[in-house]
Amino acid sequence: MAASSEPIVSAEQVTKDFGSLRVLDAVTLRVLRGERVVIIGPSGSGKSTFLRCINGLEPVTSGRVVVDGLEVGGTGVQLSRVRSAVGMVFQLFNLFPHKTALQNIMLGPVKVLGLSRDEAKRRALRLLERVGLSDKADEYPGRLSGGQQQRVAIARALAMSPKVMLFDEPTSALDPELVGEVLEVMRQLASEGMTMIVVSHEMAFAADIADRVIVMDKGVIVEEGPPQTIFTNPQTVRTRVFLTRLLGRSGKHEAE
Amino acid sequence: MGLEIAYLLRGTQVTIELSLLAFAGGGVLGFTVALLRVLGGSDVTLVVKPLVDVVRGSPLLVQLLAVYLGSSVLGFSLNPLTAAFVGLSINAGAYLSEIIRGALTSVPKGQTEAGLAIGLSRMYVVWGIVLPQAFPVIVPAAMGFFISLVKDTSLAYVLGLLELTRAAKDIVDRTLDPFHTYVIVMLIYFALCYPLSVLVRVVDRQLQHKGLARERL
Amino acid sequence: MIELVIAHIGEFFSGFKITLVIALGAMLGGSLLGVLTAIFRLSRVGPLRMLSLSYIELIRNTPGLVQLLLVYLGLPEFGIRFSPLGATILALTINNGAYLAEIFRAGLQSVPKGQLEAAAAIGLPRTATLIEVVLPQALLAIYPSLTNQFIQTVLFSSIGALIGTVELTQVALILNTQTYRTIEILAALSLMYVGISAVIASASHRLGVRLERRYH
Ligand SMILES: Nc1ncnc2c1ncn2[C@@H]1O[C@H](COP(=O)(O)OP(=O)(O)OP(=O)(O)O)[C@@H](O)[C@H]1O
Ligand SMILES: [Mg+2]
Repeated sequence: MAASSEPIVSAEQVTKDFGSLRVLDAVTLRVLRGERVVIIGPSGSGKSTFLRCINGLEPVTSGRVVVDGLEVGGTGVQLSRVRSAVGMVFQLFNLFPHKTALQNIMLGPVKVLGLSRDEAKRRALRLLERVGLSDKADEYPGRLSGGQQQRVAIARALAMSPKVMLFDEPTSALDPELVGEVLEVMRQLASEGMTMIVVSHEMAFAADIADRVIVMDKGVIVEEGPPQTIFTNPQTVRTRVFLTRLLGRSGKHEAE
Repeated sequence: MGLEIAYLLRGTQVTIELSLLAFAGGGVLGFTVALLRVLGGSDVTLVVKPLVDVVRGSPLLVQLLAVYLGSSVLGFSLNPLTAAFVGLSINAGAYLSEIIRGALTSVPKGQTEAGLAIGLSRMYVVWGIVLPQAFPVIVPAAMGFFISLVKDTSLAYVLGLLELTRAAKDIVDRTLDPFHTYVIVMLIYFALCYPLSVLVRVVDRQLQHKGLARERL
Repeated sequence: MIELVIAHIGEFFSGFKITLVIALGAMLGGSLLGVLTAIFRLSRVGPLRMLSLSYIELIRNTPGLVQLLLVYLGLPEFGIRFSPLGATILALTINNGAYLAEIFRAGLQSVPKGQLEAAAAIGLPRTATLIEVVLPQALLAIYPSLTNQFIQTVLFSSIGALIGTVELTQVALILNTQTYRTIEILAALSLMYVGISAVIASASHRLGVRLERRYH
């Protein structure tokens, strides 16, 4: 849709080993500005590892990742700059439990971007409003539902004004009735033109927002294409097997 | 120099003997108190707990002085060794009773109930079923406590008992070289305690590997 | 007993203040030393790890009394002289630091990895991550151990009496040589320590309940 022809994330021949285990095997992926990519694949196929390589949480064994012209890797300031250009949302939210929703969101802008507290607070409040949690600004994460925590986590990532947002199974730890509110925030984000790479098995959601679906298995991309093609007419046996296993369970949430 | 080392070694021997004696005394006392509290119910606890709390809430030094000076005021003057033994045993008993009680209560209630359900006596259930399961928790903790006890015996210095720290003081009074004397004394204590610390770590790991430690129960 | 304490309340109170000064000083200094040692202990730099480990093991495997005597009597051989109070605070700080280091290490290790990743993901530098994210959570996890260590420090500060620091125990011992009412004096002294321990324990418990309610 809004995608331009210029890649904002380019991962070239990314290989990642944990000891003798090869988790990513020469994975190449270019994501265009404004593009929405959904990654699916069986457990252990390397999806999370791939996302973590994109923001440098995991150093690559070989290959390179460039985000918005900045090489991922290196240390200190360089790495910090890349990371603040890449927002990441985790499966288990990872909010800071000793900080309120507002403080969670303000931390990065104050400590990394060097905003004044007032400015950071205004930004945080705007973001809380955007994810529908204005009334929870002073609540600690322990007192929020999973869905609310994940929305705060999204706001925390957005506060860094990232160029790309990475989502690693953002709804898979949530009770079914809380999945919708998080997907809704993500949909809204997509409609605003945010570049997103999402690991998710919410098929209806993927079909809805994805420009491209990537299927990973055993550390390689086995298939990619527009959601219609992947979901209705997969080319590889591995994708077919995986999708049939998945369809049984994901229809449930989305049917609500 | 040789004479002084011999003197320190004699003190070391007293330190070791006192540690072992007090550990035995404290162990008996601690076990008794823990079993009383676990078996005896709330009225026993009502009496025993404050006593344990007082011992754990006041300094060992004061307890040693109380036993030593108190006994002479009451007219049955204990000698320094006996007073140190009694004072350290009482102190160790209080701490060990908490270690043992904590371990006993960490064994799931279902174990006790299962034992009672098949008609075993309460006494037997605690002794024969709960205690063996608590053992992997008790052993490393009690060993760790023994190390503290070795160090604590140095306070018997104040009673004039000729253990290692006192022996050092005598030498310092004579040679006026406290630095070297106390460094050597520290090394002797270290030689006693450090191997035990390593052993505690090994035992702890072993028991955890066997899946018997509290976390796994 | 009560009338004896009341008659000498001024002395007891000043002894109590000194005890508190020693314990607070040793907790504060020991915490600084302990945090630093714990960080070194977990560092990737080999020599720093060795240094912190040696300190921890040496102190934890030798009696605090000998450490105190070494500071008070041994250091003057090198021209480093302390008052009894100064030596007591210094020795207990060094002693406490080793125990606190192990407590802090456990606390640092108890912070879930996801917290570090979340901090890294927003580009937070290492020091800010430590101060803003890790330490507060570590403190929350270990504050029962810290409380216990504080109580132990108060009790252990009584060894200051053995080098003439006029803290609570020394006040009682002086009073004993004046009045010879040994049993009453030592009983009163014990109860004072029990009282201090109980106050610390209950204050900490209340704080714990408040924190628990705040975050959950
Ligand atoms: N830090 C690590 N050390 C060793 N092995 C790891 C590490 N992290 C991941 N792995 C291994 O790498 C493989 C890929 O893991 P990854 O988490 O990327 O898979 P995934 O596709 O995200 O799976 P899931 O759907 O279960 O989240 C797995 O076999 C995993 O055990
Ligand atoms: Mg994953």
